[in-house]
Amino acid sequence: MLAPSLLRSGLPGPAASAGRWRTRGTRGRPVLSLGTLFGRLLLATLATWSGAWAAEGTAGPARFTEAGVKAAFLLNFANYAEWPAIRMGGTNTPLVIGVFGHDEVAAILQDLVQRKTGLKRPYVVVGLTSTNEARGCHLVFVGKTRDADEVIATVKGMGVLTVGESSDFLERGGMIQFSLVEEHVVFDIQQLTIEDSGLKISSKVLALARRVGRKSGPPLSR
Amino acid sequence: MNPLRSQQPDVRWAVLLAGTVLAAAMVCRSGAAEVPPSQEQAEALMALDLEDLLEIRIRTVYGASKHDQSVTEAPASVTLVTREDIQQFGYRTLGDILNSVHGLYVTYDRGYQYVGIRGVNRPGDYGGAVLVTLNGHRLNEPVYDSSMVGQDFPLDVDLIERVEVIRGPGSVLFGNNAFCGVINVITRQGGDLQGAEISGSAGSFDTYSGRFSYGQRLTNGLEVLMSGTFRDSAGHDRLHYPEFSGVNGGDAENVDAERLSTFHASASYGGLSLSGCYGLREKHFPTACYGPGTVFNDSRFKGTDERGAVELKYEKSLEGDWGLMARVGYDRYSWDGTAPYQYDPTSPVITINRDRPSANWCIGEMQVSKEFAERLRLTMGLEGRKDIAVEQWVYDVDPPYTYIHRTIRTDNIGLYAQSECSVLTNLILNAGVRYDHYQTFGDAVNPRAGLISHPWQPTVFKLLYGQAYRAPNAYEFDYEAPGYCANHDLEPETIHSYEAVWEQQLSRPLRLSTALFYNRIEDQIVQVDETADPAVGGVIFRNLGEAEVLGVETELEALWASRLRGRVSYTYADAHEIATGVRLSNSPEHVAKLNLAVPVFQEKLTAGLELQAMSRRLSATTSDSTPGFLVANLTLFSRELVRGLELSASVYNLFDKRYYDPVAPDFDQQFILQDGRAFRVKLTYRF
Repeated sequence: MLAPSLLRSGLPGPAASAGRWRTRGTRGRPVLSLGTLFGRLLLATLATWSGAWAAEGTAGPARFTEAGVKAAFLLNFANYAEWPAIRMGGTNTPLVIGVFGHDEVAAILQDLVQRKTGLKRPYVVVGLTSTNEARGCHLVFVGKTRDADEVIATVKGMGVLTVGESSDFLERGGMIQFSLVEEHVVFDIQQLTIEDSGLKISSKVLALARRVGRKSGPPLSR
Repeated sequence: MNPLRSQQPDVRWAVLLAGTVLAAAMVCRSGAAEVPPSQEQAEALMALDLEDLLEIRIRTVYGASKHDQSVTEAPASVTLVTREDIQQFGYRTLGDILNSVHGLYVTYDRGYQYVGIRGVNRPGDYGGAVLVTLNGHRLNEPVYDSSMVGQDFPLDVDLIERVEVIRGPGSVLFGNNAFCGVINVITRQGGDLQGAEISGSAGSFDTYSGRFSYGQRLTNGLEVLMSGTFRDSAGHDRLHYPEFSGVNGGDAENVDAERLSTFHASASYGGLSLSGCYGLREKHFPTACYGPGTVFNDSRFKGTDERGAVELKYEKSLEGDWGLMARVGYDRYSWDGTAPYQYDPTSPVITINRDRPSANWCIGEMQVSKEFAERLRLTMGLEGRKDIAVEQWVYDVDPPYTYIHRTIRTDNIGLYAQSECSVLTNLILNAGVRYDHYQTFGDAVNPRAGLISHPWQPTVFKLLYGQAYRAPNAYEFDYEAPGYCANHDLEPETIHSYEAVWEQQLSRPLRLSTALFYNRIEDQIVQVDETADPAVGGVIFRNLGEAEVLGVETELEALWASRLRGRVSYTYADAHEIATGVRLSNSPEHVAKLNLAVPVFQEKLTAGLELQAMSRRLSATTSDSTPGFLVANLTLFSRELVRGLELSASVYNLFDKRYYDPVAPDFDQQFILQDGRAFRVKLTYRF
């Protein structure tokens, strides 16, 4: 950093005694008086706030959280996936989505399934407390704080669609993995693992994935 | 001074009127049905299909609470600038990026860029009132506390993923320098590149730059990135300073050149990451600041800033909602300056003076957090810094004379704790405190408290109080040389900040946020001349003076589609010295900004327009002022016209407006003319 390192005593020039706040002006006026610019601005701001707020009427659309977006994705994955016939039973057998270790996603997913009309079959959202319970689900979402290995091993080959958010979920044998890229939630798919489990996923979802792994090995970039 | 205790009848009417207006608004609103937040989000999500979901932007910030949280829950007024913004608006430096953020303004003295937040940008302060961190790693160095936001920033802006601007005091978590705000720069990771990137640009003043980067995320999860950048600028070939009309007619010719190189590398695997950056930047100084005595129009007046940092970090989320982070790092800073002096005005003899301070230090931090039933989150951390050697060294080359050559070793330690508690479903109480112990001046305790209320999904209210400090740096505390007296009794500057924030999501594309703030600064470190006092015999830094800032900041953001977005903001700041009531120097009363990104051709070509306006500002030493101005910047950015290719063309200061920035009192000039119209074209190819 270029900073004055020498004092040339005796040389003319701006005295170092010039305080850094040396300025001229009038004495300050009382702060909140309507006579000051600040006072008027404050009033104008409050008026604008209140106007915008009152005019808002019923609340505008919600602020989306990461959990909300992931929950919406899960519902879409469930909608666009096909399970083998033995797992599906009759047309009224509920499709079970298990959420392991992410209460916020479970709560929003619960709200979503209650509201969404036009679903192919009834949906049930279950908050899992142990890995064994994953066996009874069609789709399992594994939160970051839970051990992905255990869940994947438990449901291997049983026709359960596994979705996770940890950064190594696909490497550990998971099927769909969420990532946060430049503030957007994106997902990668390991298609081979899905097919090995007897499941199918719609090409619509495959087309929108960031990366799709088709051979054994890492997901390829698009 | 308590602003509410004014005796003016105006105040009571103003408050009454404001209260009535607010109450009326509340009555209007209460008619609307209230829906619990998660159900409201679900309602909105229902309408979205897969493509829509991919378009949603999740806004998170790390630097407000030292963990990722939604911007609306952060105990501060936060702005995020993303990589997309950097590309669409053609920002060249971190300073350019920050200059687009409401509440901030950046000034330039032909050497460095300085960031001001909410009316505070003291000329002569080397940037110590703002903390800049790189992925949470402190960049301010211990010699001058400088926050390097200009071309001396040791990272190419192309490698930035996002910049978090956290206005307000942040010492509760970050300690020193988090005085007016914290700026956390987050870098791109190897997986974001997935290949190589080559970039080149050419611009006005014979400026050329080139970058090569490579990043990859491997099968086993290992992520690596490495990048190198070079930039060479000839600068202005002629700069005129009437203060030096006796030398070469006041023209500084070909003494504005700059050359820099930066390197960045990172590797991460699982929770472990190793990253480093290194920057070297040489600049010629055309202003002959610190003259007369300094020789004007001399190409020997130059210097190199060097900044390097390497860090090993481990981060893990554990069972039972525990979080753990530990980091160790090693840093280096040095300045190597050369200045030609003419000590005797009657003799043409010129002496070359060298100023070569340097610092080597290491840091360590450990942070633990625990979440209890999603209602309470506790974070505790311990941070230590050991200044292995902080060296001050100033000497003349010929005849050889040493003014100062000393090395100090100091250390400091900080302990912080923060709790975020959902006291009610929609009310978060955020409280924290940090204790710092410095070997130099002793202890500092800095609390922060905030109430964050989410009464309806689209509305957030925040009431915040915080305190922060800026410790005396080596230059202020310990610089002992002929005519300079060290002061080991110096205390840190402190700031008390009160803030009320309102963030409101309006009909789909619009978001409004407003902040009302009051800051009180005490124990400012000021340089005074006590040559007359035999006990001192020179200039010395002392804790003198108090200032206060009262203002309001408001921003309206619109996000119509991912490529069409706009931001308009206005900041009012009344910053003045308490004792005299005079306005602070380099403090604009009004600052307004506009940013608009418009798609020109499908998704492939965007135009980014930026307008910045500022009202007049006072100089550092006298009663002069520089007038207000409006500057426009325009960038055309194209992506994927050809696969993997990004092209941009930018015009800065489109209307060639003449405007000036106030500079430090040590300069002969009070104001420095800024650049007129300038251009840049840039090409990046990914493969």
